[in-house]
Amino acid sequence: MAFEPVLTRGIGELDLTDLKVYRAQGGYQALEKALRELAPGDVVQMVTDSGLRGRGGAGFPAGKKWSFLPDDGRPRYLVCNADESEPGTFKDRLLIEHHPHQLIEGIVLAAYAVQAVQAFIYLRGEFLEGYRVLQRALAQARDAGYVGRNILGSGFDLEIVVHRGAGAYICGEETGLLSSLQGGRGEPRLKPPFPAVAGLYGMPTVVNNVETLSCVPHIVARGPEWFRSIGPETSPGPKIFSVSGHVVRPGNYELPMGVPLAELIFEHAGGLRPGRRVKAVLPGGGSSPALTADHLDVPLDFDSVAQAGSMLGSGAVMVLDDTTCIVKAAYVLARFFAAESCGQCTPCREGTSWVARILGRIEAGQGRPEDLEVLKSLPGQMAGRTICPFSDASVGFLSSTLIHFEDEYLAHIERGACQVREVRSA
Amino acid sequence: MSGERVSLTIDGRAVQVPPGTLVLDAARQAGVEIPVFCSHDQLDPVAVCRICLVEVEGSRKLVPACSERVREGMVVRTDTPQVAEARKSVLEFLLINHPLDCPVCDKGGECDLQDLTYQYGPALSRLADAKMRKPKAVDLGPFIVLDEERCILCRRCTRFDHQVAQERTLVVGQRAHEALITTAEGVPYASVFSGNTIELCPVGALTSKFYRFRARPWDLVRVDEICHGCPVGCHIQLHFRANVEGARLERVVSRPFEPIDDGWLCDRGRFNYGFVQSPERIAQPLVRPLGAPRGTLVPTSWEEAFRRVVGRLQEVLATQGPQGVGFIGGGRLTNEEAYLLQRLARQVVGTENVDHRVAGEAAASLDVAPGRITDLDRAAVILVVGAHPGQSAPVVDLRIRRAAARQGALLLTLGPVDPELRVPHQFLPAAPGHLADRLEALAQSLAGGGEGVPPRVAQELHEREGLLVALWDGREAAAGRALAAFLQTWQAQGREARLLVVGDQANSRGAEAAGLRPDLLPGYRLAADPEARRQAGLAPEPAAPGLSTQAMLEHAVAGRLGFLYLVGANLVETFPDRALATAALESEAFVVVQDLFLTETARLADVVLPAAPFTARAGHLTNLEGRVQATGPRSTDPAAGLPVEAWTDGQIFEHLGEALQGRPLVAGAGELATALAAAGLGSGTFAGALPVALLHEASDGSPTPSGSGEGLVAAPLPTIHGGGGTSRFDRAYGERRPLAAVVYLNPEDAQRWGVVPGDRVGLEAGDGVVEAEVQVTRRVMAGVLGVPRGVPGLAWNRLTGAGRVRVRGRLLEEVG
Repeated sequence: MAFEPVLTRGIGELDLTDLKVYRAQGGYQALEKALRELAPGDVVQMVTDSGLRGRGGAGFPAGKKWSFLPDDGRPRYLVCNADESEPGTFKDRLLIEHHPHQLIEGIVLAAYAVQAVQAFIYLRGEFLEGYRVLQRALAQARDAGYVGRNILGSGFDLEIVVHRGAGAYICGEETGLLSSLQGGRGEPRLKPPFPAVAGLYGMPTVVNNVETLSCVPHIVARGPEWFRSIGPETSPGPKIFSVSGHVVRPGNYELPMGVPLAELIFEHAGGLRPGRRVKAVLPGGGSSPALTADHLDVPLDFDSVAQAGSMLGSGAVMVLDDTTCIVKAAYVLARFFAAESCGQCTPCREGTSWVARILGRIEAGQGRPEDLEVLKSLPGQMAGRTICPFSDASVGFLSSTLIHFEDEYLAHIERGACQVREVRSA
Repeated sequence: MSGERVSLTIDGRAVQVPPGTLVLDAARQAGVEIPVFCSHDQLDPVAVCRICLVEVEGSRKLVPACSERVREGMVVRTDTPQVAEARKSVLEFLLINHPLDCPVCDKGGECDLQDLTYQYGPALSRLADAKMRKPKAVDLGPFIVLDEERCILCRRCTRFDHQVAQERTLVVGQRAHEALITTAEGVPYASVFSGNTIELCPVGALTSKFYRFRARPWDLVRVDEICHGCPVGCHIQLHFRANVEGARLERVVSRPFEPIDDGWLCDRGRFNYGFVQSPERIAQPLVRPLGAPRGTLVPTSWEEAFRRVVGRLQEVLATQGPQGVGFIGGGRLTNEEAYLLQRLARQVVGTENVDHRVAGEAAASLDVAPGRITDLDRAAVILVVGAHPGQSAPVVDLRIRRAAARQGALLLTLGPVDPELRVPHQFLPAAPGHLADRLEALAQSLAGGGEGVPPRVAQELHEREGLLVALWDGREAAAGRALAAFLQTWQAQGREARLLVVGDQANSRGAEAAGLRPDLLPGYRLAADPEARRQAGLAPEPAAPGLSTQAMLEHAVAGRLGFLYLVGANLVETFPDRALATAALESEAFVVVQDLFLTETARLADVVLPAAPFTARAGHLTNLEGRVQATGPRSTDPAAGLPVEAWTDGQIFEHLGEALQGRPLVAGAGELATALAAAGLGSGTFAGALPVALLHEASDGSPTPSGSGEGLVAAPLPTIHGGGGTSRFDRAYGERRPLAAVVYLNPEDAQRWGVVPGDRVGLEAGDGVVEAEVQVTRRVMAGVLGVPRGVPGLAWNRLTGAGRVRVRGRLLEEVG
């Protein structure tokens, strides 16, 4: 059975930002159905049964997350994490700018399911166009009675506020996001308590990614079995892969979870430029350890990619061909992480900048043999020793390339120059 | 529940602790040391430094001991290679950018980073790159200089500022390796608690403006002391350094004492110490040459000075009798010195004219529901009457902030000016002289009535179960009686009540208890009680009833008091009627002043005796809760190396006593201790308190508005950094905390008098004019002018002594 796009269907052909167009495509029917026929618990059950796993990167089962909220009478909040900032990821931006009502419908459904009194969209600050689109769509949805008081006469109230972030990568981490949303510094905090118990303003809070929430209307409309029928048993559903790097057609590709890496790169993204070979692939954005040409048959789902030694993350596939200097790539990523660490935990604050300094020196031909020993020891000193997983993420690519491409680091240090130049000029 | 225990093992040692205990504290109890930087007993855990990582069985990753709570059956290991590696690793990270300036760092020798590096850290650095350079001397506020390179971003300082001080001025700025400690919006870190961050800092990043580069910790001689700055009585340690000139007091640090200070100090207590070695100290006795006008003083010897004092005292006794002699002073004296002074007056001179109240007739205690500072920790309601705890009892204010902000206590303030509290509270305006009315209404509201009490307050007071703690500034006798009645009503409803009275000076309460009042003998026994007098070795009837400070000044002006002896009492600055104080000093009376500095008052004296500072004396102080605390040992007078010949106040009293009666004032230290114990001032005990019946209506110039009339009633406000003596003559301190001559007006009054914020105005009272800048604030109730006390150039007591104050338009800057 050929896969039909779900989340991106109509994008590029229709103006789905227009409420009328969205409705003509069946939009808001899931919401109407839920409010009329389903109890909140039924919606939670459907999402649980669907096997939907969070699309923000961690892959945590969405229904399970919703069921953690304590039933203690305190007000609950729903927060949509739209702070898409993982290097290489641009799928949420697409959904926000071109399919805002799908997201809004997903938010209202999720809020209804967990009985949230208020929802927030924490939007990446740079998404100015997305902000305008969302505001317009929200106004339409409010006018049409899909958002606001007594939605569709059901007695359920929900207001959605769009909050623009200020540009910190770490605000994509949920506790950092919540702190920022409350006006504090964007810094992760100790867990537990988890946001489900003490989140926004100390209240039970669900934080879900844009793509995750965009799946919800379809699950409600078509049922959990349909959703499960797509992709592998443990990671079902459609997935948008943001492909970038050395491919002929970079872009967003919606495919079933579990699509093999090679199929994504060569069939959908147009393969590599003539004469080039795959050197490394980051399957889950800048935080993910590199896969090599030996891994091209890996199915792109949470479990398979983890088994291959990396992580699916947000599904941002960055392809590096044989003209890429691995040391330089590691350095570019290291600089990003050195700038984006929130700076709380010692190993991350100091480690990320140390790694960047060493890589910068090696890349510039000033490396020393001892540097490699230090570089090899730092990931172990940084990973798993901090409040949030940023520190681990910052050394993912480095660690993997120190295993797969150690010779390139050595060559840089010994020759004081990059050996990839020869490939480039070939 | 209270007996419940959780069992766990740490490094194989079994330990049982209450549920909720942090692994770090459980380890401490088990005798296992876990290193920390960011963790602190008084601050919420953040677990950011990561030095305290330990192994917990069943946990995949290392766990921070400072934030992890114990669980039944938990198995913790701190002695494994993995933990050792993690500690070494964190230290390596902290050191890569940390400068190696330990040899010149203030913290060198008492630095946690240094100590833990020796103990757990790597011996060599693997850093091949240059260390990051950052600013080395950033002025964060008046007293704090930040060395950004040394900072390890443990956030103790910012957490103190947010969680303890509730101020939120200090923040972390930037992020990643560029993160730094700074202030919100770049405002100065001017909290009155800023100095605590220096002690909290585990490295040498936050340094004291005054101590910076002054000494090495191992060269310092440490002397335990009680802070003499205010009646809270925080425990401090004085650090002296010997040099060729003698000993110098280099810094004051806290000596944590949970029942009072929790280890915190205010900046007045911590930084206002330079006066002890000020070059402005009076170096030797001074006398006014015969026939010279007042204000002329020439140096003389102690012998000559005493000869003049004793000679003139005997002349006045011969002509006017004992009632022609008066002694004023005491709020800064120790209990012992206060006792000796009243003994000198009563036993030797035979006069009852003694008073410690140099700033108006305030009570320093009240015998109703005696409270302790720690009562604030469990208060359901806190009622602040007239007092400004942030200014006059700062460290107590920290407990108020915590109770209100973190424990949900209802905080009410009552008086003409809402004190500057950093936490949510309800202000109940009450005009000067009418605090009692408001308190009576509050008492009636407890019974369901109470006109003029906001319904929400009445309801809250009705519903709140538990302890009510009242804080009173001891002013307005009627307010004291009404407050007593209010507390008794509260108690009658089966609820607990406690009272704390914030005295004017550090040892007002000790002076009161020691009998430095015309109506009281030591131990709160009535001066008019023949039996009490007999026991004190006095004649059954006083020669004449004793005079209060105000009455002594009036008698001096009227020529009926020919000898006035002032001890540490700068009345020109502190007495609420400046005109009267000045007139008395300029009268025919012979004026002796015992002080450290040539104050406005000392300048007008006939004889000035140089007193030694608190560092030179030993004795006891009684804090606002009545706790009798031993001051430090008789250590040193840091100015002694300079050509200063000062005596302690007690030494001067003893010498005078002996000179007058030919034998010692007391037979010895033993007799003195016995006498003080008999007065309820035994070391380590709690003093008695003033009976409600002895609350007299103020006879001084305290603001009691007469009739209606045009104009404002001046309400004096205590000023933490101000004062008549030690702060004014501590130049370095004064320069860091300049005090502006500012008065406070309600917006309504500002409009009525046509002034806008920032205007310089003339304030007319009596026949004088005082100039000041106006600030407009709702903290001041309508009809009231808030006037800070102790601000140089703002003669507050010209405004309080002479009825209502008129605002004479704005004084325009002259152009051209």
